[in-house]
Amino acid sequence: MKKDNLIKQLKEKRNQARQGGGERRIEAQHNKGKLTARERLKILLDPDSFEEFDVFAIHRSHDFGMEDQHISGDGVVVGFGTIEGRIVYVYAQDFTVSGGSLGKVHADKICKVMEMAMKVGAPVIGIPDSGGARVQEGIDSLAGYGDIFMLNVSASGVIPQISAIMGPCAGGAVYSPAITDFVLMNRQSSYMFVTGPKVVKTVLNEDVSTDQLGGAMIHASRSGVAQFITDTEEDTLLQIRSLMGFIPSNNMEEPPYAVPMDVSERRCEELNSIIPDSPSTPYNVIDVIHSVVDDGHFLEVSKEFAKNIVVGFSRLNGHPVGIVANQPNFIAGVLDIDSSIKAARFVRFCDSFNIPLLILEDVPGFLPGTKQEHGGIIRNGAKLLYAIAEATVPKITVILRKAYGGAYIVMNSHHLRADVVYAWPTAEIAVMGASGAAEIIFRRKAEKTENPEEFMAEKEAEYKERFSNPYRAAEKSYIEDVIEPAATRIRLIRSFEMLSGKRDSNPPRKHGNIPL
Amino acid sequence: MKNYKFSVGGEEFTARIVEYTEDKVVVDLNGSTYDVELIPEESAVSAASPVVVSPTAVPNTVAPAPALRIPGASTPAAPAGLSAGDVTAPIPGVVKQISVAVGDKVTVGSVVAVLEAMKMENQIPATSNGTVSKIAVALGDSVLDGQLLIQIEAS
Repeated sequence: MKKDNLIKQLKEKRNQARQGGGERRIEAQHNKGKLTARERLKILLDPDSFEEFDVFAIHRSHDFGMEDQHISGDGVVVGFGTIEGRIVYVYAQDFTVSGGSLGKVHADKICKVMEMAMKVGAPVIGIPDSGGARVQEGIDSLAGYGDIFMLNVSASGVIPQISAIMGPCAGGAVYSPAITDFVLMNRQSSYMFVTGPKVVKTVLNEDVSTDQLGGAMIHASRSGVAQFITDTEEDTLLQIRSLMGFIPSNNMEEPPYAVPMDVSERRCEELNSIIPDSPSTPYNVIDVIHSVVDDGHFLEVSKEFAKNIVVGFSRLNGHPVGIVANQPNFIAGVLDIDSSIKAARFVRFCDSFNIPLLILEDVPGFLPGTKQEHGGIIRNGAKLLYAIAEATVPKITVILRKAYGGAYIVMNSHHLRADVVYAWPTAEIAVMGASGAAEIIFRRKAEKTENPEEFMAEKEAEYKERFSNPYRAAEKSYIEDVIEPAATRIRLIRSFEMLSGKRDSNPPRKHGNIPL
Repeated sequence: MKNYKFSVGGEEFTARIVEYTEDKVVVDLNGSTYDVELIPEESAVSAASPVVVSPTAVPNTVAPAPALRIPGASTPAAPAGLSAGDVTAPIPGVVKQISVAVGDKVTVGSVVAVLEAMKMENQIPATSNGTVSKIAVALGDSVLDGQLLIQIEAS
């Protein structure tokens, strides 16, 4: 009988711990349109797969009356579960317990799963929803943040780290998600900032709302902090599940293969006519992506930020690829500060986790002007160059149209170790556009002729004829082949398969010095 | 007229009021002239944007200046004083085509103007659903990054 009682006691204790901050606080959480930590994990993970650790952990603080307030779990739910059968470690801060505030034990619980995840080689998915540091615990709370940051950095490039912000994430706490590979926010409940609107008002006398300062849309479109934005918390959690479909569990694994529904030898006839007749007419590069990849499925990353470059995941014959494509439909697909940083970070993620890269190129060059130069387009553009050059995964480029100047080099040219470069017949691979080039080469000569304008037009046409095509580059073996657009999918699948055994490395060193 | 001296982030500025009327002040700031449009308090969009400032060098339009644009001082990321329906230039360029007229109904994503920049005829889409209430630029105008092109009133 005694044993029965013990089991009953365990069940009671566990049930009580699972109540978090209690019914009233759970109701308050729901009234804010938010789910509780446990409800979130239920949606994120496969049904009945969650195993919790440290449900009975309590804080060890004895100041300011804390010794009388003990709630099992200390404001964070941690453990592991599966997504499509693959192990993932999770932590979800519980706002119903002391506002999800972070104390030492709370932080230790997070660190425990992160360390396990690194040992096992499985992703960590964090769901921050916290008022910030637990002030009563003083510097212990700061130590907790420090420990988490340190592990975030250690785990970077070893296991995928994903953060789904579902409530406040303010102050120093923001730097944990900032280090992780993907940050997801929703329009319902997330906001992130280093200092909140009240401090902004006091220090700078600037009136700004929480949403304007650090809401989901701001971080998805202007700051670039968030890679995904969804309407609801539920959408965010489902988004993580589909993202996981493209990424491996650690840096030693290949990305997950899925049996393709699409035909590998499918021709894409629509691509033969997708490039407009006039080089100054834009088109949507996402149409090209949809046409080429398996089942037209493309998971776009950082969709609202720096729209002049498109990055995201797709599959080719079942194997994941990371796609980087210039977008002629938005500010001519020019490379600027934001688009360089966006693409560089994506390329580095793919290279860290063995995801082959496909670059679709149509770039008029780098954006000129004081705003860009003063903002540091030199050091920021260099990030993309560095990231692509450094990447050792299979790298294939297809030049769709414009490939000019330095931007041509940066966008995975042979000179930066591209494995295969293809060009469509519409490609223009040159140092610069024909009119600018003719201006430089022939202007002086033109002034000595009777009709300088006619002479210039003639020379421009001549330059265009000679250089604004893919054949000059093909003659010099800077590109492997000029291909029919309709055959792009077939050629890409064959080439990526040819490269599947690729082994390449960088010279041994502590680490490179990317121009941050 | 009065001279005002102040420093922002260690940088010295001298402001001189050149002209003062009911709804406009012309200010000379370290040698650059700015038109400051005064908006009566009750019609102001928000407390954060009581004034709209534009350098006189910019023709035709009022630049969506983030509060007072001070040379050398950092400009806030979000241009204050703009509302959701404002369509602005995403890149410096020349207005090649205006595809709508005042009173036209537009939906998010429909092309309202074409801006030539980087040798591309960039299609500028509407950012909200509504009715075109103002066209702030003319064909052939050179516009700056972030400059107001078209205003859409939500319907």
